[in-house]
Amino acid sequence: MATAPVAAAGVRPPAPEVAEDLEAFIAWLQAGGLVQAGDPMPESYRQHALRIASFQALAELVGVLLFSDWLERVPAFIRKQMITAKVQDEVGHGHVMARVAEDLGGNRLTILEDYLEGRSKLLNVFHYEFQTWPEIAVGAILQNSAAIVQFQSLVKGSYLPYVRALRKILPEESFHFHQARNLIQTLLGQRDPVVRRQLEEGLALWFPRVLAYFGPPEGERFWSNKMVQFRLKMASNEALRQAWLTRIVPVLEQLGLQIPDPRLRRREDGTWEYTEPDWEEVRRVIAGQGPASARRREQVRSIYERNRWLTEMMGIGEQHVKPGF
Amino acid sequence: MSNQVFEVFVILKRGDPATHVGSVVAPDPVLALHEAKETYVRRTACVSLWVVPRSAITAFAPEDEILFQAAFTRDYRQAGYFTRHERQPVGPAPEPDGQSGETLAVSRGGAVS
Ligand SMILES: [Fe+2]
Ligand SMILES: [Fe+2]
Repeated sequence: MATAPVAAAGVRPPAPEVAEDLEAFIAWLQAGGLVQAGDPMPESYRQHALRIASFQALAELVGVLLFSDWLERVPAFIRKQMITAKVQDEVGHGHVMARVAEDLGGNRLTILEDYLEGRSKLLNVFHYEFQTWPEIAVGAILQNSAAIVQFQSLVKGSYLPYVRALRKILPEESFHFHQARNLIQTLLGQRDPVVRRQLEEGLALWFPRVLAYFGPPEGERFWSNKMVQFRLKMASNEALRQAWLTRIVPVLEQLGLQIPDPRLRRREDGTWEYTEPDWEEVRRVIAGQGPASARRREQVRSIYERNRWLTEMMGIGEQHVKPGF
Repeated sequence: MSNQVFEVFVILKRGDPATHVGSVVAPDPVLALHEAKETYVRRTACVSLWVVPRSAITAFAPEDEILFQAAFTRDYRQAGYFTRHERQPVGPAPEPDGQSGETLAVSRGGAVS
């Protein structure tokens, strides 16, 4: 029944006739329907769920390179251990998401190959790299808080295996957030004007990048997005950006860091005003014109080639048995 | 080498039930166990981990779910049924208070005949 009440819709799989009719399936999802791997689902839903899982697997695996790049240069042993833990986490997130994608008919090698051959694109923040150690601290706290806000929204989505993966990932993202905040506190505690300046310069670089990370406001187009209709995307770009600002601005202020956006202020109605990102520039960066775009792809390519013998020997990326659970 | 999917179950505390957390792909159970440890319990205090080949699991299909619905309509099989009716005056057995009239009609009809 496509018109099942919300409470009941979430606990039952879609009826076969609902899964065959895209309109009915969307209505069922909008009424609170939740999809399990192996449930009947329209082909278009499967493709969109696959796209979101693959996209996140890639983001986890490639995003970590900004940090693993620094493993050899971390100035304190305990921090090196902490960054190592974060790097392990992110690779783990990549694997968990790759499994979600594979159960939807995807393939973990294809996820990398699509990026290497230009068929998929990275989020803007992954087209840069960190120049100084203090810059990592502010870059990490901004990126992680943005990811947390985004995952807390996506975790309300309709595809249960993806939701479960996010539930596993979220506490670890929270660890990364606290790690970054603690690093900023430690660096500020050194009372070294050079370190403070590097933190502030890092903030000036990364604040606008992470503002742009959520994407341009969609306006009316929001509701025509299939990801939204399928309840795989749960909030608009602007709503997420606003939620992020509400979360991160007090944290930065409490740390005693000056946010380098002259237009940043909270309006009477509680929403934030900020300097609009240069969306043309953001598009160029995502298209591969960012300062580290070429290097990042080369890094992934060399890792991919270096491990080829292993992936081949292990048969990684072969098609697996049909989805269950 | 032929890979297969292993479902991963975690036991958080001694005596707890094993809880499904996800899956890994591996050529054999030992490698599956190691991958599961790295992927799912790197940061979790737990006492054990199981991996089970997905192909070894027999389960009802999603469309068979209706088979389990009947249990919820027969509320007289649940403890709560009796406490809900405890304060009622002595008399004939209370009517079952399940929601689905149709299923109840069928089961009551069956009882009468
Ligand atoms: Fe992550
Ligand atoms: Fe993270």
